[in-house]
Amino acid sequence: MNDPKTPDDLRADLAALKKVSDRDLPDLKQVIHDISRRQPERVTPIMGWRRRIMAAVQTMKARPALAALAAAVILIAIGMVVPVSYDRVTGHDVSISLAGAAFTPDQIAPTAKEMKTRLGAEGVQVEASEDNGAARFVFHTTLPERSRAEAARKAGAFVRELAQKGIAASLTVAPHKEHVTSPAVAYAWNQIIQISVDGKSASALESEIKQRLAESGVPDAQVSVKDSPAGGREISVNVQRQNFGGAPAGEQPAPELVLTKNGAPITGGSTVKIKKMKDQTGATSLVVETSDHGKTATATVPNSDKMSDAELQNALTTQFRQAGLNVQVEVVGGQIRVRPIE
Amino acid sequence: MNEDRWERLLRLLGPIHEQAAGTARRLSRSADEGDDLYQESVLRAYERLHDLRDESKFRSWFFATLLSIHRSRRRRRATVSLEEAWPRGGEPAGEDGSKWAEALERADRAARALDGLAPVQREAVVLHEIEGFSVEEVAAMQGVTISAVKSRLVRGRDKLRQFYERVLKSARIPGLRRETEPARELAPGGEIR
Repeated sequence: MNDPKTPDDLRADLAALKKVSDRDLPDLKQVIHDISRRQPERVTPIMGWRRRIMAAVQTMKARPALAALAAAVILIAIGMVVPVSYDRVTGHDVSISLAGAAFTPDQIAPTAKEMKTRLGAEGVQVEASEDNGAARFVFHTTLPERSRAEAARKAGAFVRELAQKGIAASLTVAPHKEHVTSPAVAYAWNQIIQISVDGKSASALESEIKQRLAESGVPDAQVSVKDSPAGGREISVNVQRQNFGGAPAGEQPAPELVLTKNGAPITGGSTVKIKKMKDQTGATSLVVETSDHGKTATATVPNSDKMSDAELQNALTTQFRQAGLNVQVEVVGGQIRVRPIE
Repeated sequence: MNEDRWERLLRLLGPIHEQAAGTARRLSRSADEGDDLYQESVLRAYERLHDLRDESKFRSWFFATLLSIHRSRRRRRATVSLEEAWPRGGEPAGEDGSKWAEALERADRAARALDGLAPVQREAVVLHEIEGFSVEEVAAMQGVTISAVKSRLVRGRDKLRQFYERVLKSARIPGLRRETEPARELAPGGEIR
C-alpha cells in the first residue's frame, strides 16, 4: 500500500481485504431507499437526556484525564457560585487601659492624639469608667496589621513610653474580624500562596517567600532557602504564633504555601508544623505534625516543658517511628528539627 | 423527509459512495456491520447537511461523520464472529488469477489484525494504507493534528507487525496449519521481507 515500510504479507492482506469488502456494495439509491423506510425514532425528552448522559459517561470512561479535568472544572464552577461564610482577620483591636493618680483627665486628648500618631491609627476612642472610686480610661483603636505580633510591637512601644512618663498602662491586643460571605474559590484563593521556583536562585526565592507571606499577614516568618550540596533545595519557613486568653488556635491567618515547578505543585518534600500549647495550669504540651513524601504523622508530647532535650527527642522519635515515618529528630536547646532519612 | 436535501446529498455522495461504503466495511468486522454503519452515516449526513457550508469539503466532512459514528458504535458493540464477516460465494478466480478463497482467508486475517487496534489507529491505517488518503486528509477527517495521525499510524503498524510476527511464529510450529505462503524472514526492526 502507500507506505514502503508495510510488510509484504500485510500489504497483500490489506489489498485482499479491500477486494473482498468492495464486493456487492449496496447501491446508493438502495441505501437511500432503506433509510427512508426506517421508522423515525420517537425520542422523548427523558430518552434524549439519558442518551446524552450515557454518551458523556462513555467519553469519560475512554478519557480519564478529561474526566478529572471536567470534575475539577465542575468543582471550581460550584466554588465560584456557592458562597461560604467565614471570619476574616482584617486587623487588630488595641486597647490601652490607663489608671492611677498619675493620669489626669486633661491628659486624655494629648494622649489620644499621640497614640493615633504613633500607632498610625485612623482614630482613637476613649472610654471612661470608675473603678472603686478611681478613674479608669481605656483607649481603643483598630490597627490594619493582620499580624498580631506587629500590632503588639507598635502598641507595646507606646505603652513603654507612657511608663517612662510614670503612667501605668496595660495592653490588650485582639484580632479584628469581619464576617465575610464570598464564593468558596475566593476563600480558598486567599488562603493559598503559590510561588514558582523556576529559574530562581535560593536568595531570590527566599525573599519572594518572605514578601508573599508578609503580604498575606505573616510578616514575621523566618525563611531560609539553601541549595543542598547533594542536589535539591532545603526550604525552611518558621512562623511563631501565640494565642492569648484561651482564644482558639487558628484565628491568625494561616496561608498555605504551595511551591510550583514547571507550573505543577512540587510534591514529595517534607514539612514540619510545631505547636506548643499551655493550659490554665501552666502545663505545656507539644504537638509536632510531620509529613514526609505524602505520609503524615502527628506526635503529641504532654508536659514537654519539664523534659530534657534528649527525652523530648526520644518521645518524638518513638511516636513517628510507630506511625511508620522514617525521620530523624533533633532537639537542641528546645529547638526541634525533623529530617527525613534517605 | 426533505426532497431538496436528499437530492443535494445524492449529488454530493455519488462520486464518493463506493469508497465511503467500502471504508465503512473495512472499519467494521463484517459487511453487514459496515453497511449499517454506512447507512447511519448517510442518515446523519442528511440530518446535518445544513451545517455544510463549503461543498468542496464534502468528502472530508462525510468521512469525519463516518468516523464519529464508527467510534461511538465501537464503544457499545459486542463481539462478532469473523466466520461470516465477508460475502462468501463460489468465485472461481480473481481478475489477477488468484483464488477467491485465498483472498477471503487473507481478508479475514487482515480484519483480525485490524481488530487488535484502537479505533482511532484502525481508522488511520484504513484511510491511509487502504484508501490512499494523505496524512493531511486523514488529520482533517479525524479532527486531529498531522503529528497525531503519524503517531497513530506508527503505533498501528507496530501492532500489525506484532500480529504478523505471532502468526508467522505459530505457522512454524509443527502440526499447526500454515495460514499463508511459507514464512518469510524478519528484517531487523521486525519488518517482514
